[in-house]
Formats: sequence, structure tokens, C-alpha cells
Amino acid sequence: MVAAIATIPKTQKAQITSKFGLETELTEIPVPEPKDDELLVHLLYSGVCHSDVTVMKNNPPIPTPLSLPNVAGHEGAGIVVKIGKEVTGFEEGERVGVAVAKWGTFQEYITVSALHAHKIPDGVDLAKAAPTQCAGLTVYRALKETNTRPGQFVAINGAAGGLGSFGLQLAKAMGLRAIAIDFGQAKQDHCLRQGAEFFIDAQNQNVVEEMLKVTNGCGPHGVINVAPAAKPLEDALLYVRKTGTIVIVGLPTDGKFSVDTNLMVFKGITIKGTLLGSREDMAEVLQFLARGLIDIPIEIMGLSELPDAFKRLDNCQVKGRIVLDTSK
Amino acid sequence: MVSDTITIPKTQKAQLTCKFGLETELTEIPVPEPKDDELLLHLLYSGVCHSDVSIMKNAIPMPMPLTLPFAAGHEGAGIVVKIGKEVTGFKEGDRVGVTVVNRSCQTCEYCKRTGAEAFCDTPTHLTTGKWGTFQEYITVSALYAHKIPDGVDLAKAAPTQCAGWTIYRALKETNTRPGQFVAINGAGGGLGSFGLQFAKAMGLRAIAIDFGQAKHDHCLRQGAEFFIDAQTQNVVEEMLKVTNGCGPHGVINVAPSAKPLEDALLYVRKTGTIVIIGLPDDAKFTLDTNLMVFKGVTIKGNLLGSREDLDEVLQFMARGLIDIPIEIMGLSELPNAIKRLDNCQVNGRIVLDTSK
Repeated sequence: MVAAIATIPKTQKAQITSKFGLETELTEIPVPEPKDDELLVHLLYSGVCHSDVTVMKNNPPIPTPLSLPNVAGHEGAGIVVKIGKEVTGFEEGERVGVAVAKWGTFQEYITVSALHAHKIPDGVDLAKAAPTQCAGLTVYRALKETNTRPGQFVAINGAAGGLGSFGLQLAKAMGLRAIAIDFGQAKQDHCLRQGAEFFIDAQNQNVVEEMLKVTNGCGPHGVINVAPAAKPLEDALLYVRKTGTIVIVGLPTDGKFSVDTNLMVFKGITIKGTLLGSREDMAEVLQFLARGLIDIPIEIMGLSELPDAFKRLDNCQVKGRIVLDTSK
Repeated sequence: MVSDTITIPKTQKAQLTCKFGLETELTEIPVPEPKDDELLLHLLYSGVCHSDVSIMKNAIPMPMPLTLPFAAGHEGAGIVVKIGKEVTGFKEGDRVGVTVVNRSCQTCEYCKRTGAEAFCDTPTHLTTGKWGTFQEYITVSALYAHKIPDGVDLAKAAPTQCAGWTIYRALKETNTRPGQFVAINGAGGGLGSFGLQFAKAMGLRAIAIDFGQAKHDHCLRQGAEFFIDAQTQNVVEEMLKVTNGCGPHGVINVAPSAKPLEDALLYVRKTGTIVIIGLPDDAKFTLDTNLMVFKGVTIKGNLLGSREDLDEVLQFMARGLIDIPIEIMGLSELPNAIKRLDNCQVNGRIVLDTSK
């Protein structure tokens, strides 16, 4: 449905990061002009990702750190309000998702190259579309990269968070048997609701023993590490099935872990790092969403409440995804 | 060519390891009887592999248990001299090769999956499950006796049975395409030399890493496009220099050490693949997950290959595209061969003539 021609304000609200750390300032800034090959999008919703915490603290340092001052956030969904001269294929009022951009999604208006604006299918709730732009995309691509087939086991370490919750639902849609690893009773209940076949509590169980037990002694064919920690990968090397694949997605502060190459050779293990996904992957995730096969729990907070959202993420207290309503 | 009726002796010579370490005893032992689904081979040649050194020292944890005494060695080539009742498709006098895998169960998920039989749950592997190729006669399940094409020199066929096979599969596992760069760490040895020649036959641009001038000359002769001397050069800097600043698309670690893998993570191209096949005594290295994520790197360990891979290796040999330098020594000279391997002093492959 095409909206009436939108009135574009001159200024907007944005959560600005001026120094590395979790503090932001809600500031009035100009609304940008799109270049000829770009769109201007009125962002209605932005997901909040644990890697926003990483980027804002610059810990661990990323290849292209945030140049300060800046706006973080990289999971947005909104409406096209202005179209650059050279852009074809878009109309004002179209609903699109935006992923990683130069200035992020913790603001109300953003410009994005038309190539990287992903059309949201009709019927899909925009607030639920926002987290697909990073969390959904990344874990979907990771699942593909495990090279697992329907009927096989995939273990997800850190299964209760944003990526983990998408991972459990996508695994189910892909016919995979998901084993969730996380901490505590609340996360267990959450993971089983998201579609996990088994839950292993890393706080009070021996993960390697339990994992072998629930997979007939052979281990899961695939493992995805979404948690912001590297040590669990040492366990993964012990429990993954021979010829299995471990996919690393999470970005911990301390990314180092120890690998025994003889173990890797005798078990024929593959370990791979993966970042985001392709535009084709993005279209596929949105299709799963449109068909109702994916519906992760979101918690809506206001853009002005971002500091609170960060604190909870930093303490791993979030199940599912926090999504900011930029108008509040 | 079928030989005249073959005489099989009652006893044979074998180099036995009676205690862990580099010493062996040349001993007279019985010639075994093949089971109904096996062949008895007169082994004429056996390659000597660096992992024999590790096995003899008991320095690496093996998939199956190792018990003394044993005969090491797992790269053999010889003649069929006796055929089990149930075996079809072989004649006395057939020239065959034997590898580490002497038997697999054919019923586990790995045996059922194309290309994964090296990971069989209950295999018979040479040295752990059965005495290896440092002897004159050996039995083998007919499935794992690999016919050597006519015209291929048996002495040169022997090292294909582990070295050639393993590195060929590793090259496939790098997922590189003709025209792309593949770096081989430890390129001067047995697997490395095969690797350089296969890379060339597969249209890949090989960059050899090893130590010193002699290995430099050897590697360039084997087909390496570039050589990096890990003793005197900064490997990461040089590697980026020769690959237009982007790094090689694939890396294979053949050398029996793990630390070079930390360099490999720094120089491999984004979305590149590192394949680990070397079996070092000290196998630990540190991985940085963030580097792996931001570069999209794949690291995989691989063991041996499939029977189809071995057929392909032997075909390359039959067509003359693979011809690694071998040095023939007598079975009785094994201790000397082992010592030189332990000190990384071998270019190409040492092959034992079991009659000497």
C-alpha cells in the first residue's frame, strides 16, 4: 500500500555515540539527502544487537571501527520517503529493511544504497522485520554454512538470544533437529518454545557429556556459536560429529581459543567464520517470515530507552530481540 | 602381465618396533594367510612417511589403540600372490598398492557416504590394527587393494598410497579453482612434493614454504611458482607480496608443526580455506574467532581420502603428470631413513626395497 506523499522534516532524533562506551545522547540532527543511487528511508523500527555493544565499546576492535561521533545500530525497517535520481524499482511508501549502513539505525531517517534496501513482503510486521536484517540473516547463513541436511542435528551455543532464537526457528523450518545450549531455567523454557528439540544448561550440566547423550553418542553434525564467548568452541571440538562443521558467528571480547590440530585431522572437522549473508539469503529469510514460519518474540522499547536496552544486553539478560520504536 | 606360478615362503623379514622410539629390529616372522575376502601381497616397495616417525615414538594420539610390538609403514606396492576364496576381480601377479586403510566396516554412516570412508567407526588401519608395510608380505581386504595402472613404476606407486592420496584430497578440500593461489607449508617433503606437482596438474598456482636453499631448488623443480624460506623471510609479508596483497585462496599445512597455522590465518585470503593434514607432536595452536569471522576463513582437518581419490591419483601418474623424486634404500636401512626424516632432511620420498 503506497502512503500519501510523506512530509520529510528537516531534523530528526538520533542516539549519538561520541566516545567508545555504552553512553549515547539523544540529539536533534539534520535529516540527510539521498545520493542519486540511494533511498531516504523513514526508519520506524531498529533492532538492538549484542554486536552493537561490541561496536560501541570497540571491544574487540573491528576492522573498520566506528568513526566518532556516530550512530550505531544496524537492523532497521521503515518506509521509503525519497528516491535518488538513478534509482529504479522503488516507490515512495514502500516498506524496506536496511542492514549495516554508514550511520546506523538508532535514528529516524537514514540513506541507503538502493542495492541494500530489502523489500519487506506484504503482511509482515515491520517491527518483526527489523531484526531479520542482521540477526535473522546472519544465523540463516550460518545454518547453511554448517552443510547439514534435514534430519541432522545442529547445536546452537547461545540459543536464547536474538540470533539464537531465529536460529532455532529457522532450524525447524529447515528440517534440522536443534539442540540449544544456554544458561538457566528461563532460557530453557524459551528455547523449547522456539523449537529446540533438546536444551543443555551450560551452567550446571557437562555440555560435552549431555551433547553426546542426546545425539546417540556421535555428536551433532553442525554447531553454531552465536554466544559472545570463545571457550565453548573447545567443547564443540570434542562433541561435534566426525566430518562435522562448526560455524563461528559470535564476536567475543576475547576471541582466542585453543585448537588441537590432530583432533581436527582425525575427526575431519571444519571450522569456519561467517559474517552476515548475501542479498539472496536476505530475500529467503523474508520469505520464511512472510510464510509465517518464523516469528521470534520481540520486546518493543523507545529509541529514548536505548541505554537501558544496552545494559540488559551487556548482561545477557535478553531473550529474543529488543526492537526500538523510533517515534518514542 | 601375469607371472609364473608364485612361490610363497613360510617366513619373511619385517622391521619391528619393540619399544617406542626410533629403533627397529629386523626380524624373521611368519607370512600371514589371507582371509576369504582378502589378498596376500608380496610387498616389493614401502614408502617411509614422517607420521611413521611419530607413530614409532607414540607421539600422536591415534584413532585406534597402538600395541607393541608392531611393524610401522603404511604406503606399499607389490604383487598379488594369493587370493581369498570370496574375492573376485583379481589375478595372481596383479600389481596393487596398499594404504593405511586395510579394511573398513562398510556399514557405518561414514562408509555409506561417498568420500568419507577414512572416518569409518571400526576400521582396520595399518600399524594399529595390523602390522604395516615395513615387511615383505601383507594381507589386505580386496576392497582396499588398489590396482596400479600398467606402465607405472611400482617403486613410485608406493608413496601415492598415503602421501599422494592425502595431499590430493587436501587440494580438493581447499575448494580452489584453476588460476587461484594455493600455499603449501612444508612443500619440500613427500606430501609437499606431490602437492606441488598435483597443484600444477590441477591448474593451481602453488606457493611453496619450507627451509633453505636446497628445498628452494627442489620446490621450484617440482612446479612451485614461488618459494618462501620460512627460516630467513617473514612468511606473512612475502606471501602477501606474491599474491598481489590479497593472500592465497587456499593453504595446506603438511609440515609436522602447528604454529605456521597462526601465520596462515593472517595471510590467507578473505573467504579462503586452510586445510590441515600434518600431524605434529605438539598440535596446539591458538585461533582468534574474530579474525575468522571478519575474514570468513574456513579451517578443516582432513585424513587420507576416498578410494575414488586414489584412482584419480594413479591416473595422473599413469599419464606421466606426477613423478616425484624418490630415493630407494633397503628395508634393512630403515633406521637411517627414520633418522633423516626425524630431522626433516628428506626431499621427496624415501622408498624401501623390501628385498634389500
